Formats: sequence, structure tokens, C-alpha cells
Amino acid sequence: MYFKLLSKSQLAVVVFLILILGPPQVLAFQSLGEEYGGVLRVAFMSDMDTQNVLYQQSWWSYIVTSMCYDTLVVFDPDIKVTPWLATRWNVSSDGLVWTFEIVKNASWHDGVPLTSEDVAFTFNYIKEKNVALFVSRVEFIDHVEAVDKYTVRFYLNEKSATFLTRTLRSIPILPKHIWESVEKPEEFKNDKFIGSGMFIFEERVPEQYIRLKTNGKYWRGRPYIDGVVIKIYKDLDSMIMALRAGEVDVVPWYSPTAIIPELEADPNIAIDNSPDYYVYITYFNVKKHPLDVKEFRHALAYATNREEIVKTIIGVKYGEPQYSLIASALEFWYNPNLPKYKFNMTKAKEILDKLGYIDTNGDGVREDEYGKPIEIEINPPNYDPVRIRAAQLMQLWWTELGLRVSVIPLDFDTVMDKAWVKHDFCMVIVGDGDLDPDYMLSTMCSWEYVEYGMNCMGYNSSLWDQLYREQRSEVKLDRRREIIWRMQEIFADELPMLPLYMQYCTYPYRTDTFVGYVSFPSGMVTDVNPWTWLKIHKVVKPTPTTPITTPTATLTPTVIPTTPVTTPAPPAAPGLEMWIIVVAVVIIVVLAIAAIMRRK
Amino acid sequence: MGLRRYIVKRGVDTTITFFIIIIINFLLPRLMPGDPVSRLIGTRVQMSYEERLALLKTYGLDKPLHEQFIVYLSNLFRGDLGVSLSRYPTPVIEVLMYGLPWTILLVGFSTFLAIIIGTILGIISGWRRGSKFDIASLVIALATYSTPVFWIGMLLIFFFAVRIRILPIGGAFDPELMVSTLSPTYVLNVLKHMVLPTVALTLILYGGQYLIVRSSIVEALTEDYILTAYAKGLKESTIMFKHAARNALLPAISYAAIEIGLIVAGAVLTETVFSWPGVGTIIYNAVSDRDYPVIQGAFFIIALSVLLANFIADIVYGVLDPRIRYG
Repeated sequence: MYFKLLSKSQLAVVVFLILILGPPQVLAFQSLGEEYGGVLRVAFMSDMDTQNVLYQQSWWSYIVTSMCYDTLVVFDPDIKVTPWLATRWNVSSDGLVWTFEIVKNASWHDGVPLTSEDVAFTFNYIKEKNVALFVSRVEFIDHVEAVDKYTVRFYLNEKSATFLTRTLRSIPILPKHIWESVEKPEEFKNDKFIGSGMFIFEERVPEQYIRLKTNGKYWRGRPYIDGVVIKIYKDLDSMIMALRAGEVDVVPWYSPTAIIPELEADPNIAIDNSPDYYVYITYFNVKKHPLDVKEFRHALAYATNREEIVKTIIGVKYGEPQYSLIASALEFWYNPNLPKYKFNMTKAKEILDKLGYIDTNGDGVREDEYGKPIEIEINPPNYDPVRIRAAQLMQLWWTELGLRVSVIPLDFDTVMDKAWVKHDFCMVIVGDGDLDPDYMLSTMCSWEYVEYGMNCMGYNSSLWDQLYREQRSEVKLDRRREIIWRMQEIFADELPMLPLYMQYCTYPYRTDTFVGYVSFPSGMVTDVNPWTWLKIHKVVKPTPTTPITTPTATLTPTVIPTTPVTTPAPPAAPGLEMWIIVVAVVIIVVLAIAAIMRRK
Repeated sequence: MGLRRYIVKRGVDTTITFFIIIIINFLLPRLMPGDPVSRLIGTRVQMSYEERLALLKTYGLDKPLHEQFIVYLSNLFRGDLGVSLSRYPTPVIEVLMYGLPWTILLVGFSTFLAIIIGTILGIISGWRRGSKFDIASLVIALATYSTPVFWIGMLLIFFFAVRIRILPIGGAFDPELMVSTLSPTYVLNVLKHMVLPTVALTLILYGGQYLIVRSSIVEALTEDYILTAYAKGLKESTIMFKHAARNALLPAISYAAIEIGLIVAGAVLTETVFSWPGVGTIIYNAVSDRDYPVIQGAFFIIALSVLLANFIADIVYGVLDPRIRYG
């Protein structure tokens, strides 16, 4: 009835206004009318180390490789293994023979179709050539064979829980027709970078930029964007300034905590707050007295206020305290029922008193049973203000506990060398983690306490070693989780290291250019997250005339931007004029000097 | 006779220095704590123990130090600088060539600009010691000379790239341009990217040259031959440039020679702030990545060019000032 009061065009205007003024979440959901086109500009802090995908050692390279190459399986945003090139698979009852079916419409960037031969070749080749970076990922594979054009079978020597999550998820499938003639993979440059992924490698100028174009024939359907330009900046401040000036659309790196409020105040910039699988941990040298005493480590935990560290240094919106060596973001594996050693100074002091660590000479520092004052040195890496400040807070609390604590920030390589190579340290603060829990669990295995081993602490327990082996060969997820939960309980009791916090991925990005980023542990733009590339699409500029005539059809995409799109492209250079001015200034200066000389 | 012997003597000196440099060059990077594999722990590379060991072996770092030294020497004499470890398997020479042309363009241009500006201002300033011009330029030169370049850089970026947006924030050219190398648009684009780093670098570089030239001019003016020149009734500009400057420029030449020799070393801070793809950041990264072959290769080339520049300066000296030849 009342609608009759409004003419059709008036109704359209009302709908338009509702859409514009409505809550932003609603609008975001209506942005389904994705349009193709647009080139996403990403800022990198470092160039690829090498295009040889078998020898890459940097996260930045991994990102590019993940865009241009496919793996058999990937993780979905809940960190569950999901089919990718492999459509489905089955396992023999002994867990040693895995048969995979792969997609039938995939092809390499040079047009050659991708078949099971390529998959079998990739793994046999890596094994045969003994590629350093993958040895432990393929050691349990006996051989791989192509059953038919789209079926491939893996024969394993032993059962492996990480076969899907680490081996198949991380090893890019290589084109056989290119790599089979490569005798020495360690010398191969892989200039053409031919993969089967959703982006085709177009051009790379080392240290400057990498340009990728969309693979129009991608087997999963092409991404909405036309391509990606990766611009290499050398320093975080420049990256952030480039984002604010509109020279790039996304910076896949943590915003410095100090400037987050400033970034958030910008209506066209948002902060990705994906959780991370990284945990920042204080590793103890448990070979060093009194850190070898479990109760002493408990006292240190009681005297560490992890909530306070997050609250004062990181901010509760951008991180959370951690209590296990498995990040809480790995929801399936993380055991939430662990003792949290709630901050309790009195209890910590009681434990130390009970241990007999009492200040006998009245200098304010407790002595151990041999009469030696208890001294602790914490080494955070010197480039990370968050870790340095966390160490300083711990120093404050532990000094109050009656220990002599020093904080000495060191260069990252020195920290690594002291702890993981020489085992000559007291405490270091390092972030580490993986999407599969196996990696972090191995840091407590006794055989890893060797130069370059994973275990820097010197922790040694046959029970742990046995449980680690069990979980490693347990293919049933639920059974494996049971073991891993038990291991975390042991960890929380033994506490050879003290987990401190997880920092969310505070990657800043522009909201006025592209939308559709997918949140993922370790960030929206990261090496393990293909989903962003499938979903991301450009923000469509408002076209003021069309909405009135056909409201429902065109309105939706037009209202996404929070403000009208100001062309963010490099500030349309007044190139010529500027150069005329510069040249003019130079000429004037030269003439002026000449004139001065003349007069003398 | 004198000059030839002088050149031979200088050549022998230079060669000995060169060999000492080669040895230090090998040892110094390895004396730093950490190595190219341990630095990967705690990054998103997630390597297992076996993988770390296999990598050490691939790099040849499992061999004892003296064997590594022999490999290094024999490679060097074949003109092979080795393979980068942090960009394995890219040859070192290729890694350095990513940056060398850009560095020579930016740092070379800025250095020459700085030398010319510094010399001219220094001469004028020294000539009119105590004048308003002298005091003003002295204050400005001291200020820019002692200002950290990253700060000047940040200010320049903030005003010209973020606020008024007439110049780009960083990089050497715009990858979205998609034009062929050395086309006019490309060259213009590169020049546009060069403005801010050149200004920053020239500002901090010219001060040193200026101060040296100024003080030696001041010194030269007290000499008798200047008085003589005045007495002959010569024009002031002739005295300034032909008599005073020529004699005062000797120390300035050796200063400039070092500066020119260091061009290939790049300018780490400037290149970092402006994301300039030069050698400076490559060396900086190599040091923090413990990339021994790149550190060795870069220092080798720097040493070579500094030695060469000094050798040439010595000879120029000898030609200009006969006293040195026989000294």
C-alpha cells in the first residue's frame, strides 16, 4: 500500500540510499558481483632468492612459487588437508600404498598437459637427486609410479603422518618435460619458471620487481584479477609509505605496532588480523643449573605475566598469550586444557624457597644450593622491539623474584649460532612453528640435541621420544591428536621452554582497490594460502547514472568502496613540466656562478 | 726515470696490499658468529635436522677451513667468484651485476656532482673567508655532512612522495610502465626515480670535499706566490683558479679518489631508504645472510677499485707534484 506513494524511480533512490548507508558488513556480502580485471600490486621486502624451486629458502620466494606452481593438496582456512591437483585418494590398509587421482584439465604454462607422469617424476627426481631441502620430506617414500594418465601411486617404506601435510602440501609438482634433462638440479636456473599454477611468470628484474599474469586456462577457473606486480622495497617504512601513497595494494608483513593506530585511522587502509601458526617462545638451556630443575622453571612461569606482555606490548587486538608449543591457531591440534601458570608472584617465591634457593648474603639475589647467585641472561634478537620489551618485562618480574637477570639483544644469526649450533646460552626468544605440529614437537626429541639439530635446550626424555615416534607414524587423525594432546600435557609439566605469545598477522592493505582477501593462519597473502588469489577482485568504481534506471542489477557492485576511488596509480606524473623546471634551475645556477666569476 | 720507478714502486705496493686483502676477505666473514644455515632456523623455511646438514654439504661448508680456502683461491685465480649461498645457485658475479649498473648510475653521478659542487663551493668559500657566503655555506655543509642520510631520505620521501606526490617513493623505475629498456619513457622514468636519492646522497657527500678544498685554499692564500700574482696585476679569478686552486687541490684529489673508488660499494643506507636496487643493499643482505661468497666477491671488487683509484691518484700526484716522485 505505502509503496504506491513512491514512484519507481523514487523507490530506486531509496534502495540506493539504504544500500549506501546500510551497515558495511551487509554491503560486503553483496559484493558478489565480482568483475574480472585489475592488477594487484604487492610490496615485498626482499626479492626471490632463486627461481630454482627446489633450492628456495625464503618465504618471499615461496609465495611466488605457490602462485605459479601447484601442489597435490593444500590446507583450507581451517588447516584441514583439502584436494587440489589431487581430486581424491585412498590408502591401503597397511598405510603404505597411497593412490591419488589428479585433475584431468590441468596443463603447464607452455601448453603441455599435466599428467600423472609429472607427479611421479617430481618425487622420484627429488629422491634420486637428493635435493638437500627436501631429504626428510621424501625419505619414507620408496618410489612413485604413474598408474594411468591421471592416477599416481606412492609406495612408502613406513607410515607417515606428515605425508600429506608436509610432503605433498609443500612440494611443487614439476614439469617432467623441462626437468628431466636437468642433470644437476643445484645448478639449474629455472629462468622460465614454468609451472601449472594460476599465475604465469612474466618477467623478473632482480631486486626490483616480479610481474605475473593470470593463467587464463587455469584448471580451477581463472582468478578475477588479471595479474600481480610484486614491487621490491628494501625496508618496512618505505613499504608502508608506498601503501599509504597508493603505490601498492597490500604489504604482506607485520605493521610496526607503533603505527597501527595511524594506519587504522586511514579510511582506505585495513589491517589483516589473521592468526599465525608461529609462537614466540623463550627457550631454556636445561643443561644449565638451575634451569635443569623443573620446579625452578615452574617458578619462572608463575613469575611471567603473559597477558600483561600481550596487553602492554602487542595490544589485545593484535595477539594473544600462548601456553603450548603448538600455536592456539592450530585449533585441531592445540590442547586448550593445559595448566596456564597464572601470574602469581607469591607462589613463585614459595617454590624457590622450598627449593632452598634463598638469598643468604642479603644482596637481594638468591643463591642456589651451592651458594652461587642465580644469574640469567636473556637474548632476544636485536631487530624485534616486541621481543626486547617482552624480555625487559620478564627481567622486571624475575628480578623481583630475587634473580639476577640481564637482557642482551643480539644479532639474529648470533642468537641462532649460540643456541642451535654451539648450545652455549641461557635463554633465547625465538618465534617458530609450522602448520603441522610434528615440526615443533621434534624440538624436544633427544636425538635432535646436536649441532644444527632442532633441540637446543638439551631436553632428554625417552617417553617424549617414544610418543613423538608414535604420532609421526599415526595416520588416523583422531588417534594422532590424542597422542599430541598427551605430549602437550607432558610439555606443560616439564616446561623446557616458555611459550609467550602469538602475534596476529597485522598485514596492512588498501580497501579501495581490491576486496576478497581470505583470512588464513600466517596471513591473507602467504605461501600456504591459495584462496586469496581465487577470491580477490577489484573494487568497481561507482557509476552514478546506471543505478537509478536498473537498481537491482548494477547497484550491488557499485557501493562497495567506502569512498570514491581516487586513482591510486602512481601519481600521474607531471613528468615533463617537472623536468623543465629542474633543467631551468640547473641552468640558472650555472649562469649565476658564471656571472659571479665574471664580475671578479 | 724518476716517474717510471715511482710507478713501479707504487704498483708493487698495491699488489702486496691486494694479497693481504684476499686473505682477510676470506677470514673476516667466517669470523662472524652464525653461518648461512643456522640463520634459517626460526624462519618460515621449517627445515629438519637432516635437511640442515644436507644443505651445509651442498654449500661445501662441511669441509675444514683450509680446504675451503684452497677452493676459494683456485676459483679466484680462474676469475670465478663462486656461487651465492643465500641465492643458491646464482653465481656471485650475477648477483653483483643486478646492482652494479644501478649503483654506478646513482652513486657515481652523485659522487661526481658532490665533488664538483664541493670543489667549487670550497674554492669560493676559502677565497672569501669570513664573508657571509663563507659562513652560510660552511654551516650548511657541516649540517648536511653530519646529518644521517636515512633521515634526509625519509624527509624527502615524506614531502615529495607522500605529501605532494610528484616523485615516487622508491625503486629505480615503475614496473607498471611496461616499456622496453632505454626507450625515452623508460629513461625519463628512471631519471624521475633518481631525483630524491641523488639529492640526498649529494647533500651528504659534498660536505667532505667542500671542507677539504676550503681549508687548503685558505692555507694556499697565505703563500707568497699569491702575493706575487697580485703584484703582477693578474685578474682575481685567474689567481683564484690558476694559482691558488691548482696547488690547493692535491689533498682534495686523494679524497676524491677514495670517494670514486668507493662508488662500487654503493650506499647502503641511501639505497635502503629509497629501495634503490644497488650493490649496497646486496652487500648488506649478504652480511646479514652470512652469504660468504657474495661478501668475498663484493669486497674483492671494492678493494680492487679502491686500490686502482688510489694508484691512479698516486700517479696523478706524481705528475702534478715532482717532489713526491723523489720523496
